[in-house]
Amino acid sequence: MIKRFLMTIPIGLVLGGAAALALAFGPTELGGIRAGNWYTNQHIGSVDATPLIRAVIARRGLMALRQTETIYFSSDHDSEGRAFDEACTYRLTVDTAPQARWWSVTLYAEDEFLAVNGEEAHSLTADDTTGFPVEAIISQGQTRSPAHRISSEAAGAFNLTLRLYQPDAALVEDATLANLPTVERISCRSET
Amino acid sequence: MRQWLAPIAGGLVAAGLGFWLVLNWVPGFLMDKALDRLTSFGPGYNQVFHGPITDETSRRVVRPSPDILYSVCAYDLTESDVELNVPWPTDGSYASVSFYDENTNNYAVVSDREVSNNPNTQIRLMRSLATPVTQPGDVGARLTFSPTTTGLALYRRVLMGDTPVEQVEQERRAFSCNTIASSD
Repeated sequence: MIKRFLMTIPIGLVLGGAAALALAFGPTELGGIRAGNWYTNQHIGSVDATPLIRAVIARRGLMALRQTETIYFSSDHDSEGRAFDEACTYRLTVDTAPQARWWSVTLYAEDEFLAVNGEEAHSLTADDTTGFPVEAIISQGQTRSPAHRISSEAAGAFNLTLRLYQPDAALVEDATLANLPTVERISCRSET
Repeated sequence: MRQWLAPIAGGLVAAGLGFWLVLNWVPGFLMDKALDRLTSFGPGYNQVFHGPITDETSRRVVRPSPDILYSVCAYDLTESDVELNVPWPTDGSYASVSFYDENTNNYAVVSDREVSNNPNTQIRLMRSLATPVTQPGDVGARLTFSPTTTGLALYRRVLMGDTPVEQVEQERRAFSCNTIASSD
């Protein structure tokens, strides 16, 4: 009997540990609140986050602020639910001012860092806007559009992060009330 | 077969335990790595590293914002308390200093919105096993209690469109972090 325990307990420990690593370092989403194609988790940065949420956030958003200070929304799909792809061109539209003191939308490459493309066109911020609606084109190459541009060159299956710094109290209570950008796919290289 | 029931049950319990242990270990491990990186290339513990403007070569922490300047103090309260001087923007842009314990928890934040017309705030960071809190002071000074001996204080300053980067750079370099004698 002891022999069998000596077999199953180490196997169990290893399998459990491996499952935890797979969840923490795999493509696990933060879960939490969904609003359209954006999602956030109210426990980001919080001491009451579950071990899984804390582990995923430590990997995907180390040094994030808690929700009362900043709400982080993420998105990896366009308005029709298709995964973002650097080969496609998108129109990002912010119809109404996000309810926060300052906001930004930043594009991150597949590896969770800024895309390495030498263009320095990684984001759209509140300072880039004078009124609403405001648009930005997300594309690999330059466009003729007068809109702001965020470069997806060398970004692979990229993702977007919307930061809402010092959000209105109502959003801290219910993040689904946020005025969120829409991201519509215009074309893809194979389609043009 | 029956003789395997108890060992299999033991294996399942062990799997749950392994899962829980590893999941709780990951944040501390990643924080340790971040602290190692910050203290190996920077000035070490209890001193400030003013990060360069974030660009595509920034690879130390995932998802950095290209629109924010970061300065960081990796602190170690083993020997003494730490005092931080936090400068606030003169152009009305957002700035804050946030504190993270060894398990990546953001246990305290102080932002420019909470200080009234003070160009700077002094924060004394102390080790405490008590509930982590930030206590406001009466002359722009505060006490903050870290739940763990080591951690990070991260200063964020938004790069506002109209303000010259040189001015922002000069202002944020007033962010400092120094050891001071422990009060006990």
